[in-house]
Amino acid sequence: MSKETELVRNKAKELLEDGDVELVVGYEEGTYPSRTTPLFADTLEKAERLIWNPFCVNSLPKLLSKGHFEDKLAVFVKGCDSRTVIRLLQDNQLDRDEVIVLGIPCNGNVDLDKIKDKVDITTIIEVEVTNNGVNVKTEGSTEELSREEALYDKCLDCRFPNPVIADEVIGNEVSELPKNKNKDDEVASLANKSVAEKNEFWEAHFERCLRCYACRNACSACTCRDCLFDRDERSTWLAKGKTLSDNEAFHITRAFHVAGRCVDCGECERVCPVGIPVQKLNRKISLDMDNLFGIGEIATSEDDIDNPPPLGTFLTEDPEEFM
Amino acid sequence: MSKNPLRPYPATITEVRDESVGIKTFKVVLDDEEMMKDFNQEPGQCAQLSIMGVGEAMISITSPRTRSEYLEFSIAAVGKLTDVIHELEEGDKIALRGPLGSSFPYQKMQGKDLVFIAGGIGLAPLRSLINFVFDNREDYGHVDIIYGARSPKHLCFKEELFETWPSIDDVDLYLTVDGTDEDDNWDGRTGYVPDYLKDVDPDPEGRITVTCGPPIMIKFVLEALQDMGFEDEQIITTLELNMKCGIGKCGRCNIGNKYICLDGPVFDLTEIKELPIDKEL
Amino acid sequence: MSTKAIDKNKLSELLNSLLFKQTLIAPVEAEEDILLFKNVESADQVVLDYQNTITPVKDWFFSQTEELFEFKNKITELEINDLPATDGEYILFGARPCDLKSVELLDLVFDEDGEFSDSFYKEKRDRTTIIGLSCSEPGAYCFCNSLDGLSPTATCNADIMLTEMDGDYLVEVLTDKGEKLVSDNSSYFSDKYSEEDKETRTEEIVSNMKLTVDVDDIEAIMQKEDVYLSDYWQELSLKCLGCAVCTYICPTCHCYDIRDYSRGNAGIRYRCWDSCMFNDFTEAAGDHNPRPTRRERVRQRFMHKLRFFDERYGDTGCVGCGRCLEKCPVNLDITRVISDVKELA
Ligand code: SF4
Ligand code: SF4
Ligand code: SF4
Ligand code: SF4
Ligand code: SF4
Ligand code: FES
Repeated sequence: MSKETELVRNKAKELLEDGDVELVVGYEEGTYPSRTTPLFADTLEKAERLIWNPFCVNSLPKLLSKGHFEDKLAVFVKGCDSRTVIRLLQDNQLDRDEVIVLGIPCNGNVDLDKIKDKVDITTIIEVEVTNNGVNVKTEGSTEELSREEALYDKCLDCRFPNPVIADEVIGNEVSELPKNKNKDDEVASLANKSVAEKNEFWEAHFERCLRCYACRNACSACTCRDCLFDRDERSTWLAKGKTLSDNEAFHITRAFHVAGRCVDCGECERVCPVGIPVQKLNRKISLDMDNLFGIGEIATSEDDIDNPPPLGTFLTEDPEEFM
Repeated sequence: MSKNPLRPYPATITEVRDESVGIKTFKVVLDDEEMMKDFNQEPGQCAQLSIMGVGEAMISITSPRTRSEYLEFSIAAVGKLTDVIHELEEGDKIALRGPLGSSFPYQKMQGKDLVFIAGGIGLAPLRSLINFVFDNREDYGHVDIIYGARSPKHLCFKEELFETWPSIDDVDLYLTVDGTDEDDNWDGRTGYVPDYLKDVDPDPEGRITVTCGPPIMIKFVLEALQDMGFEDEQIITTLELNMKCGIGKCGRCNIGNKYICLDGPVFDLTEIKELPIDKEL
Repeated sequence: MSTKAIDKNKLSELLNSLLFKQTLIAPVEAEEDILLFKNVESADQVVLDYQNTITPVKDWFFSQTEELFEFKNKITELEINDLPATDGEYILFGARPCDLKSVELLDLVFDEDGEFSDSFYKEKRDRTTIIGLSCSEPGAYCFCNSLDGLSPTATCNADIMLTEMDGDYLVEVLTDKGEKLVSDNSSYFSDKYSEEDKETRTEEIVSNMKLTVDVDDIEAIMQKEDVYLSDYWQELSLKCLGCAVCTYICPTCHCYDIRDYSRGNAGIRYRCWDSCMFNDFTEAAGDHNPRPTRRERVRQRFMHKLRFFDERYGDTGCVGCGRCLEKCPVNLDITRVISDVKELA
């Protein structure tokens, strides 16, 4: 059992035993030790199944935003997930007094799709992620991979490895992570292409979109209970059918809807079954917003809870009547 | 290529009647004469009515096969499509496919006494069976019709209720309303259908009951009938779910191993009890 | 019917020659690691060593969006016309055994000879020759071998089945359609292998399967009222995002919606995939919903796959392709559900 797993289990058991919470939300082993799945532990027995490792990739706070939970609960968060907590608090999707945020500093998450050609993912026993690289231990051997080879792209230029909100931090704070990549450069170079090239790029991707809405449902910014894409029977401009133009309409609309609310968690891109680089689009809009209105990164500290993003805010004294 | 099962056919509305509050009855004739002649619906079956560009809905055919020159549908305006249908007038076009779904077991009912229990627009599906029975009067025994609506204005098929059906041999009609307005001039019974059923207290011996109405009414009627000693096979009702294809493929109306659009809407209580349904539903 | 062989380099020649007369649908790499079935223009595009495509072959027979008919309408005039029927001949190449099996199951839903046989599906089925391709290397999430009559080399309803051997493919010719294709192109094939060779190869491949699950009695267990009403479904549903990944990429899911596109006085009615995991799938007028929460929706998916489908059509509704557990954003795993449910009973 890894040290982190032990800490996570002990913390969960302590909170449940002391009656501080009714439910602890973390991860357990999924199909394989290298594939995790969220676990809602409401008993000590279930808390024994909790784990913590570099495969704990889902953003858990999003699972809590449905208003399904009446009891007090605790949730484990990585740095990126902690921004989702702030985001959800901004939208009143979580009740601050009812959630204990347990932060765990993070060195980066391993992308199984990236490593599956190099190691047999079904036999992975343990993985260690450091600033210098990623050691993957399998039943037969140990594979040393670079961070670029093994980690999710979003982790390669992570700026928030430590939780920005937490009632308690478990494990040691991570000092600055290496910048293996600059995602924003990629976005900029795509933006600098000709209109025709950009069109070709996005059409090839959007054409594949299944409209499964996993990107929306996993999104930290999408918190509408009644989403307009579910209401397309009443709408005349976006059809449910999968055609390029409807797929484009879906993506462009969604990109605008998350403008100023996207926390760059990358969940949309991770969950997309057909590999559409959704996050590039959202990031472009975030960067534009920064250029145009000086809106930097949102949801980066507790102060932001009561200071929601401008495009996500409505004031009755707004000069613009229409909005 | 085999026949496109999802394609409807043009039809013309030949008459529109205000049935009751928010409910209109449409008389519809398929434009293709052969098709109209061969339509041959069984009592209780449905058709898919569509307005192009708006959508399609599964609606019970309220006229019996024995009157084969037309089809009648009684429709409540409850959504986008039915609102549009309510705007239609005589001579306007509508599209139609069917007949779809199961029918009332009218053969099994032959020689039996019958009790029809309906609430509100729930009389529409039963009306096709009732008129079918009356068009073959000698095949069936005594008929009781217990029917209620929110108020006198909400009663459907008033001409049949007050004139046609009472004049038929061996028929008893029991009408009730939940409440009245001052201008209603109602001297009949006030109260709910399940209570009236208990007062009428039909003898289960040699009887079959058919029930249709709002879910809450059906629930209490089914309970009452079982208390009176009716066996599950003697209790027939209809189920309603959101539907799309109407032919058991799109999966929308699936409950257990049944598709309500294809295997239903008519079920007896034995079949319903076999369906996996959460107790509270 | 008969067993033959084809050399690896001859296979692409064969595909190229077939392309002249017929439309070829085969696995291609649309993007790095993103394999999809698509119309191909040249055999070079066809990927042979893939583990499984992301979207299943159902997308060919039952397209995500299918136009049903066109209409012209004014209030007092209405014209409805079928769209021109396809008259092509197709070859579906490279379908894996799990997907072959799924087509057998979809046949039960769409292609029955009854009154409501789905003309769109049937037309494509009748016009398509299926060349299946055994898996040489089962993927990490594949569990076909745990299901009755399925394995990484099962022929199911293929017309022709290829199994990779050393340097060539073992070819099983299984139907009249397959026989015709082989005899029309006999120069590509040789006689080399026997049924025993296939069996030996199958054993070799099966020994590489990573994931197994015991599905014995699962239908009977799912039929228990305790299981249906169990809190398990509520617990399971907590992590589900309510998206449609699992159902859209499932080779046996067949649910669809029907919608209209219309502009002015004309338009088209089409159908498109829909999913029991969406909250508005069963929502009726007046906001009444027989499956109001994720608990009922998650339960419906597994009940339908493992019980209802079997009750109605006599076969399990899951073919063990592993797609849903691999691609589900939260790894909600049907093999885990099967073993958990067995514990419940
Ligand atoms: S997750 Fe991917 S396929 Fe699904 S709707 Fe989003 S972009 Fe499209
Ligand atoms: S793919 Fe996973 S998260 Fe999405 S609906 Fe299916 S089970 Fe739920
Ligand atoms: S349920 Fe999952 S494993 Fe089974 S056939 Fe569907 S996608 Fe494949
Ligand atoms: S009901 Fe759900 S699981 Fe069954 S076929 Fe339809 S979408 Fe798939
Ligand atoms: S499930 Fe079986 S048949 Fe399907 S891809 Fe995997 S190994 Fe091949
Ligand atoms: S409405 Fe499509 S299956 Fe019943």
